[in-house]
Amino acid sequence: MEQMTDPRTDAELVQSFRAGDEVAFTMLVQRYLSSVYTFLYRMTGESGLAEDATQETFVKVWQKLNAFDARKPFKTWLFTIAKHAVIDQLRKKRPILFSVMDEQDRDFDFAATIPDERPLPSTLLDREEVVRYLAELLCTVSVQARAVILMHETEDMTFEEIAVVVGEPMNTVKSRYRRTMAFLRKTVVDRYTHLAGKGPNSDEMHQ
Amino acid sequence: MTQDSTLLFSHIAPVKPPDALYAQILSAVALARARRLRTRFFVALTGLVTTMGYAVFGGFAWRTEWQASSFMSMVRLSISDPDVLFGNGQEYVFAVLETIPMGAITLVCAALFLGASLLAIGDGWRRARHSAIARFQAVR
Repeated sequence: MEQMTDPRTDAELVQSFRAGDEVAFTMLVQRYLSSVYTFLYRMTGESGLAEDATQETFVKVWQKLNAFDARKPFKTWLFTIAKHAVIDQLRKKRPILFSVMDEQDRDFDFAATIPDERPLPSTLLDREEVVRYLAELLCTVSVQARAVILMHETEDMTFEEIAVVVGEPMNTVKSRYRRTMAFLRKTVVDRYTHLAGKGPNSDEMHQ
Repeated sequence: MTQDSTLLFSHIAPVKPPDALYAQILSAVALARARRLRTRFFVALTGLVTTMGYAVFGGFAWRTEWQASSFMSMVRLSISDPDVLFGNGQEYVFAVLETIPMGAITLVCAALFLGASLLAIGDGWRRARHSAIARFQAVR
């Protein structure tokens, strides 16, 4: 891919595309390819599915760009399309489980959702195995919860923007985020707590 | 919680998209565009052929409708004697509206619209072949 940077804003690129400048569209693809692919890869956990969903996302963007309201943020609109694309891909692959987290919602334990203020031991996070496990664990939570976590954590999107993407009230998004983070944190700590406090080269790690 | 979560996810390495993905995306877009142009072309062509076919096979009825109508006489009158227009404006407009051969005019308008659409599609095709995305069409 020839990397080119374009000083124009997203809105300006959209306007240029509408005026017939297709290079503007290629600039938008270059600008967001990495973000969209990372998001979709983390959503699906598979590179093949992520590639298909990324392709589908940008084709839909091209098809609908003339109808896009340029006063709204392009990134929010793009991620809405990406989210729908990944749900389609996952549905083709297998029935979506709405989900480990949603199942837990039925026996909702409020106390369990209160954030644990203790920091995660950094020695724990330094371990490749733990980080890999966290990525795998993320694939077990519901699609909606996963989307919220990834958009907030890896794309730095605000809860307001995420609420637009997932089509839910902001408070629902926030509580979903808190619950999922508490679940991820607890699961990681429970599983690897015996490693906490040990250095990356400790004997225990190599056993 | 925010610091905690940031700590959680800051350790997950970013994923680099495959090198070929960019070209694949633009190739898929080029294909989608070709498919869209092809669909529009066949719809417009089918419409034009249907319209022209109807005009040819229904030519007799169409000609009779046109001849029976006094629409052209009214138009000629407005050219040869414009005073009629100014003197009896409202009546003249109503008379013209009543005599319009709707079937024939609809047919002509449809044929003109479809013909213009075909020309626009042809132009779109020509521009698409030289666009920034076209060079990715053969990547797939």
